[in-house]
Amino acid sequence: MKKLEIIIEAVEKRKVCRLLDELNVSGYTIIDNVLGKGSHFTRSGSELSDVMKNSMIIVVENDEIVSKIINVLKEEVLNFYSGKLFLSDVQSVD
Amino acid sequence: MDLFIKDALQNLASPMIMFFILGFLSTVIKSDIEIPQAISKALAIYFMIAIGFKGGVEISKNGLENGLFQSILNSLIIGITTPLISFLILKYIGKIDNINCGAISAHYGSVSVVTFVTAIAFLNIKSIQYSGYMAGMMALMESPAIFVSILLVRIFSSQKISTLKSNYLDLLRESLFNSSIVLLFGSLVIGMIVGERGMMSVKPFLVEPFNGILTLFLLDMGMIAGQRIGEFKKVGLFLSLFAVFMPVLNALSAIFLSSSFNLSKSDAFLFTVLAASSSYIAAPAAVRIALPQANPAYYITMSLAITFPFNIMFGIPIYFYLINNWF
Repeated sequence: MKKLEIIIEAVEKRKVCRLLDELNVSGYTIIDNVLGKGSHFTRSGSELSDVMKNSMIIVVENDEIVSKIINVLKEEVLNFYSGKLFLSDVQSVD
Repeated sequence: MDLFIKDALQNLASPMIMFFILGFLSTVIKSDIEIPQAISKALAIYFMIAIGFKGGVEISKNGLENGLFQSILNSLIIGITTPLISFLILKYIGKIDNINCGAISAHYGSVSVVTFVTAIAFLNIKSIQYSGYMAGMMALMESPAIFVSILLVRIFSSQKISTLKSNYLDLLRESLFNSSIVLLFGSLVIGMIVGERGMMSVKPFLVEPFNGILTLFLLDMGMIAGQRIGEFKKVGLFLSLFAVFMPVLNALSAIFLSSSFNLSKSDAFLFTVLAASSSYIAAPAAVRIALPQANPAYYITMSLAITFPFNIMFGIPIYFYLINNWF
């Protein structure tokens, strides 16, 4: 099992979720208003619109689905928007 | 002229504007004042409901006044021409690339709820009445500029904007069904249905605290604008000047158009403020989806940290004076 942490601009959150649904991902966790500083802008989260804000989406899936997700996100989202993908091994205990 | 100076000073000395300045200064001196984001969002929703509802009740009382169709036409013409003028100025005078031209034009063609609300507070202080449907006009003027600007980018760009297609659905949703459009139209309709009797039951919440709540909201807006002060360098001199010059040019076009349509002075004033305002809630989200290559530091800083403060502090009394003397 792999855990994929997707940090993405908040305006693209809906699209990423749609792409995950299309790939039949069994579930994901969303954390809004992820703050910090990266190479593009300081993510302040204090604006009234979703621009300049980040969200994090966490997906735990098997290797095959995770690699599909990475390919799709690179092509459809990360080509145009700032964001980060972090992949790690994970063990589900329940 | 004396009247203008009196109005301008009265506006600057109003509690709302002074709290805006306080918010701005508090970030400059790095004070730790913080308004939770959820409260800012709730306040923005409050103003959209308050102005939409009040407008609906006015319509239920007076019916749809004669000026409605002229107003719809006026708002559509303004919504289409202002982004076009902005685009051409940015492209041919500013030599800005097409994508950033489109992104900035979308903001200057679209409208700002908070500038509109501040103009209403300005009229409230002077006890001047305006047409109930103006809240609907505001909602009507939010989206056309966004579509016109994206269309202009497509027309002027030789290379295709590949993201447009895949994000089309999100763009439509963001532009046509964003919270301000749904809340303004929704509250307007509810106000029309419940009428004066319904107004009596919510008046202590939606009408009386309006200006007071605006002080809190503008304090927050001042802080948000102040946080962007560090971005001024990125924006540069031309775009900074554009952010002051463009609202005045848009205001003059709106005054000219409104006078041709024979609108009342107060409605013409609100149209002028709407045309002069630039969006920083609806347009940034739509533009980020449609034109991700555009630089948000430009359009957000210009709209929020330059045009918005200029309009509420100086623009509103200037436009009011021009309408009262030229109209």
